[in-house]
Amino acid sequence: MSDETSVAEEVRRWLDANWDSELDLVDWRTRLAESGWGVPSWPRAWYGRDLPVALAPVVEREFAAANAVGVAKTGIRMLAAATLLEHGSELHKQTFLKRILTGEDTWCQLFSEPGSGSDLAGSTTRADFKDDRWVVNGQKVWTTSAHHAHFGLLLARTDWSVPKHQGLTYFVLDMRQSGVEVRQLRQMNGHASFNEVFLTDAEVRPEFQVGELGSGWQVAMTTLAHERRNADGLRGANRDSGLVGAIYDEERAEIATVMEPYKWYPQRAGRVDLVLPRATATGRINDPVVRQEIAKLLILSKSAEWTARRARAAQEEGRPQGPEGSLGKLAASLVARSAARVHTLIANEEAVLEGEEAPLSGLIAEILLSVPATSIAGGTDEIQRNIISERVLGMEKEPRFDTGPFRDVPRN
Amino acid sequence: MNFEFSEEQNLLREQARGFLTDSCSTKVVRAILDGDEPYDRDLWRQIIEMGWTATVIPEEYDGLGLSYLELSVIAEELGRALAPVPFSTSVYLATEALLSGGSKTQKDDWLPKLASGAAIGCLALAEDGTQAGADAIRTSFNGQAISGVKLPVADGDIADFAVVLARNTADTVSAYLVDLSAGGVSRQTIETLDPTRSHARIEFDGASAELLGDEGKGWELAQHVFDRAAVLYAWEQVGGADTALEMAKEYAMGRFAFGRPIASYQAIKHKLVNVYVKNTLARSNCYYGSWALSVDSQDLPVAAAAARVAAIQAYHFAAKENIQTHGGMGFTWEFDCQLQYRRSKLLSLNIGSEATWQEKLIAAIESQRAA
Repeated sequence: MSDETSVAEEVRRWLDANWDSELDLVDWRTRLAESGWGVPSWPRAWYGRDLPVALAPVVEREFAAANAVGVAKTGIRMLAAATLLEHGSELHKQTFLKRILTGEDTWCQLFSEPGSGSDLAGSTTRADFKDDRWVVNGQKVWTTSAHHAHFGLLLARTDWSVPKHQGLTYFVLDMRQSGVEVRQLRQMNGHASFNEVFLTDAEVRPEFQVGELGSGWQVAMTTLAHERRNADGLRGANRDSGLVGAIYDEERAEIATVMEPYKWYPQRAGRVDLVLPRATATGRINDPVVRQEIAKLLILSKSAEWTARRARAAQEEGRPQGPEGSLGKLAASLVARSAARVHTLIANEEAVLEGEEAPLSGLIAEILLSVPATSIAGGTDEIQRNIISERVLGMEKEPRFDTGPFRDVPRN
Repeated sequence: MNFEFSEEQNLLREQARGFLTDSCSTKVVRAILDGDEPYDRDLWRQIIEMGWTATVIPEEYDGLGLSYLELSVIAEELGRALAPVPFSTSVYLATEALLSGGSKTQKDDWLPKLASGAAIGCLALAEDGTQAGADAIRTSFNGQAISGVKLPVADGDIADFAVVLARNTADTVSAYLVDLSAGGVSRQTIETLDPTRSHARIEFDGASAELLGDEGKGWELAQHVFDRAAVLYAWEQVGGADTALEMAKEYAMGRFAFGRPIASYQAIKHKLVNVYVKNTLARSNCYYGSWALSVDSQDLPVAAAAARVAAIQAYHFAAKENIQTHGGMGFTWEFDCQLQYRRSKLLSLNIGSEATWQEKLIAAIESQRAA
């Protein structure tokens, strides 16, 4: 009997005996977390079963077949869990992991700052040890979910006398304290999906430092690596099961809260799917210039799609992950910009219209106002090009001026 | 579908690359650029000996009966090396036209010769320098013989036979096989911007011809052949684009300005990454195209157009930016940048321009949506 079959049978048996749609969401997830079937690839000591990652889909399929609700997986919480599993202390794991899985706690990531986006290691939010605790002052930005998060993954400077990467330390910050002020950040497209977080004498107890003093950069790399692998669970979180029952309603509400900031993301990507239907509906498809531009866009979009599929195939065959992430991001930027241009070409002046009277209720205008984010969010195009030129093409780095003690480095 | 070549196919690639590195250096390419020979006969002989011309020809016609994936690998390597031989014309066009439209007798007559290299074939479609469409075909077939002028015809000066598109007495366009060594054919090598691939003007004056494929379906046959050839041309282009990128990178890493290698400036790094991205995106389309070609997928017209357009853009962009990265030296006759640039232009226009293929893509998608 193959591993797959035996795992599938074991999950099925466990679900037969334990799944109960009448349970309260947290009660069910507590039972699930303790069984290890909620996150089977995690270690046995911490709510997992030490199963290879490749078998996780087998478990998911059984859950889907039984209409059983899984552990909470969306949002920053899974990045927090992955980071704590790798770098956290016993106390961290005991305090946080189970409540992450049950969905009782929500997390956010306090990395980016107004003065350091691409240059993340240039953080100037400071943590100073006073009396018996860390006192944090500074400002973070682009913080998804900060307004309802219980805890934040914080990167702060603890030593200004060493080079910048060596002076950072990683903490878990309790967001529910008076030194933490969260404000919504309004974007140019009118949505407010992120927050600014102002830290004024916010406190962290020493036991909530993650990893060694000065090793914050390495710990943050773990968080970011999981983010790049899409471990934030946003992919596929949109499905509406249509299942009836209180526990499903609770899960739907949880997902809706997490997904709310992302509702304009399809527009950010350019909505290539709307191009042919719009061109056909408006008759613009008959204009030879429009046809040429649509063809260019569709070819670009297909190129990006095939490139992504090649990368996934390589990953599935266990080949090492290459620069596909950066390449995929650059391709997505090209597609988004090109799509915005073609939508404009098709819609003509109608593209400026917003509101209910506008074509598609102003969706075209929203596309135009949203695509600039694609080439910035998650690492600008320029940073992706640096990564590819250095790691793939083997070209030299630019000379840098930030290798001495951080306090002497010119900064914002 | 596969997104990578198999181990055997990669072994073939290694052999091909090793052989072409030895036998087709840019010195060989330059000898054709500077000299009077239309192609490198010695290189062509060796290519034939390795069986590359026989790759996809079925075994019953003395071919190797291999798949289009193997041919794709060879195409990419020939493109990398800028091989100055009539491979694309004879293999992607003439051989495909016979495979698609040939009668049993025609296949018996020509395919073994194409496989063994005893014959070179070409496709004569364009007139007055354009491929404007079936309506623009003026060359005529009077029931027995063909008259008219074809220009430009890739390898028309060295080919043994041509597949000629001509207007018949019913005023429709058919494809015909013409033995170019017979009477009523006069041809001259013409000057083009890429002398490393020879082109000709062919004048037919009552040249005897036989129908290839269905009467009145010559344009359709040519389009079908182009859909198949487009994938292989695209592989040649992607191969050339990668060579151009490597040249630019090597030069940038060794060239110093203002006290450091120019490869350390983001202005150069980002430029070359833009090349890399276009090359990689085009390559993905090529893989899909090869797959569509190898299984005769319904999606071939779309896949071929996507591969063709992406490869045209990638190669021309790479060749341009290679010159730019080399600065003034890139514009000299002495440097090899011009070889890539010339070939990228030529390949972007052989078998139809970017605009032509973009229109084909939209038309193909429209007909898919209507179905």
